[in-house]
Amino acid sequence: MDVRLFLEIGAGGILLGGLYALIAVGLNLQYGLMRVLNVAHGEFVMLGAYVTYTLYTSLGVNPLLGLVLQVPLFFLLGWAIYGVVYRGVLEQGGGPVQLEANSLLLSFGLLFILENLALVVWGPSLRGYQYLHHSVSILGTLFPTNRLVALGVALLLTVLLLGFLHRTALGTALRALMQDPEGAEAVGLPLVRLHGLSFGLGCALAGLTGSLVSMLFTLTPSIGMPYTITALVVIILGGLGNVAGSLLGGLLLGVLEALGAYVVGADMRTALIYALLVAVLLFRPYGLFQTRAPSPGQTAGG
Amino acid sequence: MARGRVQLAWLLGLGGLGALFSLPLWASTYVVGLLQALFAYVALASAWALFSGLSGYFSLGSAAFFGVGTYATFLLAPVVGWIPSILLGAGMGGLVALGVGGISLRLKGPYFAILTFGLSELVRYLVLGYEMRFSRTVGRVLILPVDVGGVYLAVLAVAVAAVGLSMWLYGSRYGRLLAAIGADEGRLESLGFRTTGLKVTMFAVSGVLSAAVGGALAPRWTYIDPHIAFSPLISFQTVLMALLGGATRWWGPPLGALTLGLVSEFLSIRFRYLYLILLGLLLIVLVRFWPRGLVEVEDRARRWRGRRLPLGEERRAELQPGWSAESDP
Repeated sequence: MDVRLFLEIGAGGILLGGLYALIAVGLNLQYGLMRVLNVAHGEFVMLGAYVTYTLYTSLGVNPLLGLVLQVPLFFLLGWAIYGVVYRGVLEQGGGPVQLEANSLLLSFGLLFILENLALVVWGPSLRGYQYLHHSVSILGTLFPTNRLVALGVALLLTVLLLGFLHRTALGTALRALMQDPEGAEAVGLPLVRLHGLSFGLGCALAGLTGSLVSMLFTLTPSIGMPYTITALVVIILGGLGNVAGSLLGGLLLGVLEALGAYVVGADMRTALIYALLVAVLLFRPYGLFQTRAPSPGQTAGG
Repeated sequence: MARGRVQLAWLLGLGGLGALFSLPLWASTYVVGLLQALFAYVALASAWALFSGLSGYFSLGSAAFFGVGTYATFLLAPVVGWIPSILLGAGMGGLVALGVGGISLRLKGPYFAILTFGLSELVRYLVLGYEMRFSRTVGRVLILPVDVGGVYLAVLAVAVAAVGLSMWLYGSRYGRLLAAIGADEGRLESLGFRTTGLKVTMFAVSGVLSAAVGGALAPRWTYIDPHIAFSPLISFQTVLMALLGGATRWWGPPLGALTLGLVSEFLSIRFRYLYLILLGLLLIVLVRFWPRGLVEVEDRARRWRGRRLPLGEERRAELQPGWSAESDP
């Protein structure tokens, strides 16, 4: 494989992977508290993309500035959704089966609302804008500037996120909550406040990844679901409740997807991803980087 | 229940079944077509609940079985005829379920749900890849000499089988075992119960019935491709309907299927986006206030009349502080 092809595939894969990683960490944060697939997660990516698009095309707000502005907005949105929609249901009790069923129904409800609100507001047609569209040459290979910027932002955010989760008290508390909810409660962590926080954080991550997505790809209101599914694959690869695992898993999946598109053809790329998902679940159900369940609470009937 | 009331219930049930099976003779094509769609939902939701409803193993793989049934009819009906192709497809659905169940049932909770989803998507893309590489086509066409009434009767037969099996299961020892698996499988195993056989069997039964729905509906399509036959929406819709109705009673999933099917029939065409927004709001409100689904109608009525909870509900009552005060004097 010559250098240019290698660079192209590698850079494309890492860019995709960076986006996947950010979305997946958000989903993993939420999974940590809800113990269920939040099928609406990708809708926040879609919403973030449309908000950036609208800010840029109608008000002329720079997409990168829009990205920064969106973080508090989406955090508040997620925090409010947790308080209004999820909190009461999670506190109802009723055993793991009912809890799982109900949080699944809730996220389906959110999915329907968000996707169709977007259809009402923006319509079903393709949308997009051009931003930093010229290319720069690196080692003889042409790269679109917006891709490089998105890649840089995604990697920067990843580093910031890792620092936050591993170097601050709040981040450590969040990780504890994801790994072992019962234990976290037993040592006196304020569960409800952390739940709201991690839901908000998950939404903020999805929203700002959406901003990046809007810089790179065209938008329709239905782009959310594929991101949800990819994020699910990533958190399974990295291990449920394992943040660093999600980041690594996301990068890995992005690179594999780019390679797969080159080796087996674009049409079989999706099959490759699902085959990987099934194989990991069967042979390493707790993720590529862990050999046993993070805590008894996450597997027994959970 | 007094004997007279039991007899009355049987009479009403048989009368209702007679009316349903004779429907194509006296109802309009529109009504038959509408009920054909509704009963397909009922059959899928009940079939799903046979395994997943009580055990808490949420399968997101209905689409895989449905697709296998659909493809079986498309490929085999020209050779062996339509009805035999449904039966063969159902058998294949069962075999697929045995295979999938054998490898996936050691995973629990969300892992199982994601694995069933992943497997069913994998099947969709493998069929797609096969069709494009070896059949040199994406879709398949089938025209069978079957009218709406015929499809309706086949769908109805599958729905009756699924609902009938649920009725039996929910009242039987196996139903209680499945509910116990959902409540605390570890404790059940430590008491010496073997759960694997029951789980795999019920998963296979559910696969047989879901595949039969696919085969029964197949003549309606005339054209299929893997994206239609294995659409993940089928899985999502099935789970949604079953849970909306409430999977703790045999009549919950059919009720959810009929409700959602009817509402979408009348609202989705005229107010597509608004309908789905309202549906989302409805789901959230329902989960908040009726956490056990539409079947709570009965529980509320029972509580209001001051009756004891039915067997098997004590465990749930124990987990819900608000309930125990009323159910344990």
